[in-house]
Amino acid sequence: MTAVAKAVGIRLAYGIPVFFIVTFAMALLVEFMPGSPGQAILGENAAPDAVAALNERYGYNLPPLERYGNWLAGVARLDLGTTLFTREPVVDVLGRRLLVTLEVAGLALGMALIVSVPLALVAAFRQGGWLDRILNVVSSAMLSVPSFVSVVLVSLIFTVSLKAFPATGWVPIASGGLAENLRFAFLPALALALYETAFFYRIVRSDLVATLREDFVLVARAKGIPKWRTIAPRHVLRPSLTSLVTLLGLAVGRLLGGAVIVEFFFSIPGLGGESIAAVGIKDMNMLQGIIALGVVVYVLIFILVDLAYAWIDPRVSVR
Amino acid sequence: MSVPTMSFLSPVLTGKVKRSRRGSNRVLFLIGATWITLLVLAAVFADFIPGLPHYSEKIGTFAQGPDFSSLGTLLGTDGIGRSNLSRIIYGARISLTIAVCSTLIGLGVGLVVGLLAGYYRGFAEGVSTIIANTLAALPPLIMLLALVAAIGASLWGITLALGIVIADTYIRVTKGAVITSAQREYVLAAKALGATDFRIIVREILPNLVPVLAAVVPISMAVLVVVEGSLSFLGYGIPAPNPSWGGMIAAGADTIRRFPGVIAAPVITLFLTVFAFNVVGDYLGNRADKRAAQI
Repeated sequence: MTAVAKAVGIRLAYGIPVFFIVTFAMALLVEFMPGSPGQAILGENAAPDAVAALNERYGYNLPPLERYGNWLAGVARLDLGTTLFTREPVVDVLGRRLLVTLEVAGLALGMALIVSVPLALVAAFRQGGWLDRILNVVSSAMLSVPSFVSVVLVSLIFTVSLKAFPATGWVPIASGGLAENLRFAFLPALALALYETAFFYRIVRSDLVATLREDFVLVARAKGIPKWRTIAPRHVLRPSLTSLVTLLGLAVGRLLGGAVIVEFFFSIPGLGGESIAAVGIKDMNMLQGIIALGVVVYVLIFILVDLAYAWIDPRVSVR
Repeated sequence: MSVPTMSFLSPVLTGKVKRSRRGSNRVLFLIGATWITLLVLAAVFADFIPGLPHYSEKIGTFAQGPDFSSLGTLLGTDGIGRSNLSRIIYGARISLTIAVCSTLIGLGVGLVVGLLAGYYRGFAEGVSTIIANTLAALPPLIMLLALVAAIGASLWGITLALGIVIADTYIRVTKGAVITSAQREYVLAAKALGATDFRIIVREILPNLVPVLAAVVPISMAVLVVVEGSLSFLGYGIPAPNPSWGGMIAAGADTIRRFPGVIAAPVITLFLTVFAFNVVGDYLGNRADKRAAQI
C-alpha cells in the first residue's frame, strides 16, 4: 500500500505545476481577450462609466496577478467564484454540466466497447477473412471522419430521414424520466461513439492478433479447450485488458474535453457547450473552472490508468 | 524520473498506443499522395484555373445540383448560389496554409526543445516534460477557443494557436527519437573523434530524425485540418466571406432539411483529405519502423 501511496504522490507532484501553469495561462489569455465582462453584461452601447463601475464591483478591473491570486485563494476553499450572467457558484454549474457530459461520454464508450470488442475478436480469429478485410477498410475510413461531420451525418440519418429521434435538446432524468432522457442522449452518444468504435476496434484487433500467435494459445487449442467459450475470453482477451484500459483512459479524456462539437450541435448542457458560451461572453470564472477541472481529471485518469495496470497484470509493479 | 505523458489530441501520435500494422498499403499511399498533390496544386494556382469563378461570385440559383456544363457548377452551388467547387478550392488554400504553417511552428518548437531535452537530459528534460505535460493536459478545443478569442480569429492568430497546440506532439516524438539515436555507435564514434555537441546534433542526430518526423507530419496535418475545420464549424475560424470547409459544412447543416445535397461536396472533400493524410502518415510510419528495426 505504501508503494501505491508513493506512486500516487509522485504523479500528483507532477500534476501540481501543470495545474498552476495552465490556470495562470488561462488567466492571462482572458486578459488579452477584447472587451470586458462589464461590457458583455451591459451590451455594446453601454455608457463607459457604467461598464467601469460594474467591472469594479465584481473585481474585474484588478491587475491580472491579483485576480489570479484571489482565484487561487478561492480554489483552496473550493470556491471558484460565480458565473458572469447568472451569478451562480461556478462549482454548482460545473457539477451539473459534468454529470451531463459524463452521461453522454459513458453511453458513447459503452456503445463503442459493446460493438468493437466482439468484432475485433471475430476478425482476429478469422484473420484475413472477409469480415476482417471489410472492417479494416471501414474502421480506417471512420477514423478520418471528424466529429463535426459525424454529427451532421447522424442527424441527417436519424432526424431528417428517419425522424426517429429529437434533433436537439436535453431532458434531465429528474424531470423527464430515464426513457425520455435516453431518447435525447442517444444521438450525441452515437456521434461520439463512431470514432471511438473504429479506434478501439483497430487497436484491440492488432493486440489480439499478436496474442493469438503466442505458444500458450497453441497449447490451449491442442488440449482441446473450447475455442469461443474459454480460449477467446480467458487466453486471448485477457492480455489485451491493459491496452483496453489505456484506450478507455485516453477516450475519457478526449470525450470530456472534445465533446465540444457534439454538445454544441445537439444543444446539450454539458461542459463543452458551456465552454463555448463562456468564451463568447468572456466569463473568466467559468473558463478557469472548466480548465482547472480538465487538468484535475487528466491527472486523475493518468494515475488510475497506471494503477489499473498493476492491478490487472501482476508482473507490473507500481513505481 | 520521467513520467510518460498522455495526449488526447491524437492517440496514434502518443506512442502509448501501438500504431496498427495494417494500412501500410502502397496503393492507398499512392492514391493519398496523389489527392494531396492535386489539392495543393489547385489551392496554389486557384487564381489561374480557367473558368473557375471567384469564391464570392454568385453563379446561379441556390442549392443547384452538380451540372457539367461549366467548371463553376461542377459540384453545384451553395445556399446562396456560389460555386461549391470554387469555395472548396479557395477553402483548401486557407486550410492547407494554416495546417502547413502551424506544423512548421510545432515542428520548430518541437525540434529545439526535443533536441535539447533528449541530448542533454537532466534539467532541459525536466523543463520539456513540464511543457509537454502542460500542453497535453489542456482540453485542445477549449484552449483553442480561448486562444483564438484572445489572439483574434485572423489567419495568423489561428495558425499560431494551432502551432502551440500541436507542439507537444513534436516535442515528445523528437525527444524520444533523440534519446534512442544518441545512444548509437555513430554518435559515440563522433564523440570519440572530438566532434562538438553542435556538430553531433546537426550532422549525426538530425538526419536520423527525418524518417520519424516525416511520418508524424502527415498525421499532424490531418489533425490540424480537422481542428481548423472544427473551429470554423463553431464560428471561431477564419471569418466569412472567406471560404472554409468547416464553415461550408456548418452552413450546409443549417439548411440540411431543405437542401441536403449542399453539404455533400465539402464533407466528401474533407473526408478524402483527412483520409489521404492518415494513409500517407501510416505508410511512412511503417517504413520508419522497419528502418529502425534494421539499424
